[in-house]
Parts: sequence; C-alpha cells; structure tokens
Amino acid sequence: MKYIDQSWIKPLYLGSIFLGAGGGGKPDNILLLCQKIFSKVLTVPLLDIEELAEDKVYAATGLVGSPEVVDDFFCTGQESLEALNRLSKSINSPLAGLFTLECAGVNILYPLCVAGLAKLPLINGDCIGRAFPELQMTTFHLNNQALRPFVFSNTEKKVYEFDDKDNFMLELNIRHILSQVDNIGFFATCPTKGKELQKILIPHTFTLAYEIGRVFTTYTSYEDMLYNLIKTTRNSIYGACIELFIGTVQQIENIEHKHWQAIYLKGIKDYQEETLQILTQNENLIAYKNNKLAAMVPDLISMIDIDTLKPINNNTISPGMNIAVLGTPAPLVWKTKDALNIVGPQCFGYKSPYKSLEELYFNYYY
Amino acid sequence: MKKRLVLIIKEKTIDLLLGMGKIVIASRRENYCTIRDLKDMLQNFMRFNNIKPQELENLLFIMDFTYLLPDIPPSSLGYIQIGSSTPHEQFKIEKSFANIDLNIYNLYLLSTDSRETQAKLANFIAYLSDKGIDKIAINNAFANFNEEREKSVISALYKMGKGKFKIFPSHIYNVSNYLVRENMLFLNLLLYNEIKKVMTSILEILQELTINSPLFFLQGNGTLTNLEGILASPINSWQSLLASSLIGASLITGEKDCFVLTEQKNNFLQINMVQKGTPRCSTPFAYLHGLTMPPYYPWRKEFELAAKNNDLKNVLEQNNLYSGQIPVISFLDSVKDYWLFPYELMPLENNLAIMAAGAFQAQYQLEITSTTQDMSPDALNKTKKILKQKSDTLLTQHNIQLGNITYDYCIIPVKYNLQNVSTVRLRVNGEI
Repeated sequence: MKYIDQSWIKPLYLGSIFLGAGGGGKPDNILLLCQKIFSKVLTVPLLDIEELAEDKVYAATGLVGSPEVVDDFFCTGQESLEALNRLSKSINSPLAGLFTLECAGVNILYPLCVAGLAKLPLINGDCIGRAFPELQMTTFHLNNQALRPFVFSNTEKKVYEFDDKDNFMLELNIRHILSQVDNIGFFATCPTKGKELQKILIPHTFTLAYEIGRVFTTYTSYEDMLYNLIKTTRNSIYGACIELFIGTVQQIENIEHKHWQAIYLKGIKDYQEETLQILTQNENLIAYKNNKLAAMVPDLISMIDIDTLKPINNNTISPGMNIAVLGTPAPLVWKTKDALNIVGPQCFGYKSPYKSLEELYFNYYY
Repeated sequence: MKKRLVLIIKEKTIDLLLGMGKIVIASRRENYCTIRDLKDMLQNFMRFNNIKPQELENLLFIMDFTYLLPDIPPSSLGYIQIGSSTPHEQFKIEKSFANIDLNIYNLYLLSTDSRETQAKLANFIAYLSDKGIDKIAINNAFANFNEEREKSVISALYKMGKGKFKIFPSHIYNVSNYLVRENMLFLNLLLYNEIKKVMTSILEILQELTINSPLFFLQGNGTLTNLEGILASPINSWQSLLASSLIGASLITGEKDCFVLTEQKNNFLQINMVQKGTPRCSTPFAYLHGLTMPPYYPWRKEFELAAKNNDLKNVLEQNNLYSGQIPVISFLDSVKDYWLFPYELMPLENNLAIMAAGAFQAQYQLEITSTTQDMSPDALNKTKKILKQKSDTLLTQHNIQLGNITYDYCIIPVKYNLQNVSTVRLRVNGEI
C-alpha cells in the first residue's frame, strides 16, 4: 500500500490539468484546501486495485456539475462527507474506501481532501481515465452498472438522493437540479464491492496523474519534459503521448448555439507555416493540423504552456500564448465499439468516425 | 461645433486640452498642489481660449486613480462573504500592498434568508459602527449567476444601518472568480474615500464655474464611463493614460490593428497592441502588484533589449494575432536606429494631443449580464430583450445619449451545464 502525503499535492494538481485534456476545471481553490488539510492529516492510504477487499464496499465521491465555476467557491471537503454518510445509511453498510469517478481536473484533489477528512483510503483507479462531461461516460455505464444510489449536496447543503436505473436519466435529472443553484454539487455514489470494482475501474490512474505531475515539477527544459512525459505515459495503460504541434494561440472563437469553441494556433519552432485548430466543448475534442485530422476524442488532447512548462486548460489560454499540444492515447477500454458509442466523436456531435492516434501516427507507435 | 474639454490629471500636473470634434485646438499644462488649484487653471484656460461654459459638450477625464494607492491612509472595512462552505481568510492584498495599513473585519454567511443571518448582520453592523467603519464589501460565491443573495444582504444592511454604510457589491463586476472580485472590492474600497474627495472638489469647482456638462472617465480598457461608474469601480481607471495613447495612436495613423512600442524602462521595451482601434486587453487576467485582476486592462509584453534583435522579431511574430504582418507604431525615437525587421515601423510622438484624441475617439460602454436556465431560442431572446430594456433604462437614468449605438450580445454557456445554463452578456457601445 502506498501513502499520499503533502509531497504528492503539487504533482497531482499538475497531473490533473494534463489529464483534464483542456477541461475538468482548474482546481486552484481546491489546491489551497488540500494543502491546508494535508498540513493536519499528513497521509492518505492509496489502495491499488489488487489490494481491495473483495467483499467490502467502496464508494465514489467528487464534484459534479460545472467544475469550471469552482473558482467561485471555497470548499471544505465536508460537503461530500454529508453525502457519503447519507449513502452509507442508505445502503446500510460502512464504506471501506473511496475512489474518484474521473481522475482529472478538480476530481483528483477534491476526492483526496474528502478521503483525508473521512480518514478513508483512496483507490488508485477511476472510471474515466481523463475528463469527460457526463455521468454515462464512465466504465460503470460501460459495464451496465447504474450509478445508484446517487447522493449529492448542493452549495446550500441541501441533500438530494437519486435512484435512477438509467444513467442518461440520472445525468439529465442532476444537471437540472444543479442548474437551479450554483451549478455544482458534491456527491457520493456507486457503492460497490471490491471484487466487482476490480473489473470496473481503470487501474493506476491516480499514480499516473502523480507521475505526470512529477515530470512538470522536475524538468526545466521542454525537450527533457517531453521525453519524460513520453516515457511516463508509455509505461502506462494509456500509451506514449505524442507532440502534435507547437504554436502561438491566435484566436479563440465561440461557435454560438453549437456550444463549441475553436482554438486557432499558428506554428512556431519546427511547425513554422503550419496551423492547428482545436475544437472543444468542455474538453478538447478534435484537432486538425493544416486542415487534416490530428487527434480526436476519446484520445487526450492536452496543452502545455511552453514558457512556463506547465499544463494548462482551456480557461487559461489566451491569444499570444505559446503552447505545445500533446496527444495521449486513451486507455484501451475506451476504444471498443461499445465504448465508442458512449465516448466516441459522435457522442459530441461529430459525424466522423474515431481514428486513434495509433492509426494516425502509425510509424511513431509501431 | 461644440467644444470638448479633456483633463489629464496626474500626480503633480494637470493638462487641459480643448477639442473640436477629434482635433485638439488648445492645450495648457499646469502644476498643482491641491485639486482646488484646478479652479484658477480652468478659469484662465477658458478665458484665454474664449470658451463659455455652455459651449462645452462634455468633460473627459484621463486620470489613473491608482497613483493614490501608495498614500492611502490606514483603512478599515467590513467584509461580508456569502455562500461558500468556508470563508476566505488569506487576503492577498495584504501582501501585495504591505505598505497599506488595512484592517478587514470579516463576516461569513452560508445563506441569507434565515433569522440567524439577520441577527448576525445586526451584530456585525453594530460592531462596525463601534469601530467607526462605514464601508462594507460584499462578495457572494457565484455572484455572476445569482446576485439575489447579495441584493438581499444589501437591502438588510440599508435597513439596519439606516443608509450610513457605503456598500460595495461584487456582482456588478461581471467576473466569475471569487478571488478576482475580492481583489477588485478591496482596491475599490481603498480608493473610494480618496477619489470621492477629489471628485467632490472637482464638482464644486465646476459648479462655481457654472460648467454643467456631463463628465466621462476613460478606463483602462479604452472605454468611457460616467461619474457613477468610476466611483463604483475606480480601479478601472488603472492604465487609462496608456489606453488613451493607444487609441490616439491608432486614430492618428489610421491603423486599426497594430503593435505600439510605448515605453523603454531599464533596458526593457514595452510592447502593447491595438485591435480594431481599441487596446488589446490582457486575457484571461491582468496583474496589478501581483494581484489577479479581470481582463479590463491593456495587454503588454516586455522585451529585454539586451537580447538579440532576432528575438524581438520572434516576440512580435508570436503575438501577432493576424495572418499577415501588422505595422508597429513606436513612441520611442531610439528604436528606429536598430529596426531591421520586416514589420513596418511608424515613429510617432506620444504627446498630449494623441492622448486627447484617444479620449475623443473612445466609446461609452455599458456591460450587463444575466443568467438564464431556459436555453430555448425564445427564452434567450426574451433575456436579450430584458437586458436591452435594462441598459436603456440605465442610460436614461444617467441621462446619457449615445450616437451610433451598438448592442453586442454574447451567449456564454456554462461549461458542463451547456444545455442548462447560459450567461447572456450585453455590451452597449456608443459615441457620447
């Protein structure tokens, strides 16, 4: 068993932004909270999936709604504790540990804070392996499991409990309630025995986020950083990341009514005279280099500010910024036909079928 | 043609410039000790240039009130935080402005509608009254989506405090970031008394000289606001002098999109930019003494002159937001000696006439937002109509008539709740 201590927080913060693939929220306020909690709690046990007790019950916790608005709110971590208590009562079972549904953005550090306060271990795995916007875009749904009961408390401490069997309905119902007050809530859900969870979770994503973050805190040149990011991701269930482009942000355009944004970059360094266009909704969904497909969801399209050598999300970019765009293959679980029906390009409104990074850059990968 | 007067007020000097249309026809610079000296200056200037008070169409102030910050006397204020799970307690302003003696008395409210809240508020204002504090800032989590919480506290405070507190709400800033709003609140509160003193003196002087023309103030983003606007957020005047030069340079050269080399300090060259005739603003944030501020202030890039010439070319190319080259206007005479780049260099003296031209050219801007949970086209159109009515009412209330008025709507869906919630923003621009 590993233990998460204070030294993990900064790397996890940076790793969470990278795995957010442009979205997932930038957890600055939660970073402050995490630092405060870890100055008292000291360590949180991190259970590898193989270490789960087969007949004990574990539950997911985190932030639901729009993590983008979290800059406007100071959490304590107690918000989810109320939901967890209610969940535990509802299923009439104690919880042996916690996991995050989405190992990216705000949903790395916030569940960690909750685990610290609840004095429960955290599981080294999640149900997405990156950031996705909707609850059915999880391995629970892929494994025909409903996210039930789903308990969440809103910012006014009002607690709601849902027991939908249909994850799409659950998603609609929750968004509807959330939009009425502040757009974020704090949840506890998916009470599941360890034995089942071992089949559902994408393993080792928490430590991968940490290792990715460590690269950003260790290396001071872009070349070293890229080399080590490739090395880190290659030794994971994702696959080696690849540099797609280096360029200057020229324009960020809102495509009204379609809910899309387009980020236009013009190339610098080895990409002079080239262009990259990234289409985004909440996360980066598709990239075109010189008008040709360069990467698409569910593969990760992440961005790094090459002046500071730190990962950034879409809310932080601005025209004139020099950024590197990296693609990382999604975990294999998202590349099956069934999975692509949940998280493939069509689920975001694109007609084009999915083409993996491995297909697009065959010579790099094979 | 009616005449317009520009007042460029700095720490020790006042420049008076008389304009007709967008042309400066007379100017005078004076040193001053107190703002009361303005009376004689104005009187002499008007007499000398044969200006009658009723001939003045408006008065345009270019005045960066942040110069007052270093000399702010010890200040105390009440700070009410609403809606977060926990109050924010580490105020960055105390580090950024270590020389300012600032006491912040904090009250935290989880909700606003309980009896307990009313009791807390009553105790708080009694406490503030005892301490002789008359200014209260209110910051509400998600103020952009829900201003009602803030409004209900304001109304309770007015009732309980019988109007003796000056209250600064955060929702008026249209900023979706708690800490940024907090920074703005504190800076505005710090500046408020000083700017109020200055403006009261100026208003008295104008009254004595029977000048009743409307007053407008240039802001850092290159737009104009009225007296109420600048009193509500004096920090928006930060970098207004630079903004006037940028707009003026664009107007005089006819270049709507260009770089402007504005300053050279300690071997660093400051590069600014004009987009569509107005200053390019720093996004997503600007920084004042390390404090994060909203993107209402001119973007800037500093370039170290000791670096190679080729690096300056790279900096210009990286920050050129257009596909082709754009001209570079330079206020710095020395730059042309080593200018070897393909970008066209246009030397221009940054004088008062350019700044005044910038103020004449600047448009009045009013920005209001509303959040809607109904995303149907009908509902969005209804929200747009409500915003337009609200903006028209505000302009009428402030007696502002704009020419060539434009209504620019922007629908900003809340990420991850794209189908459920949108902020609709209206920017009204027009010529004064």
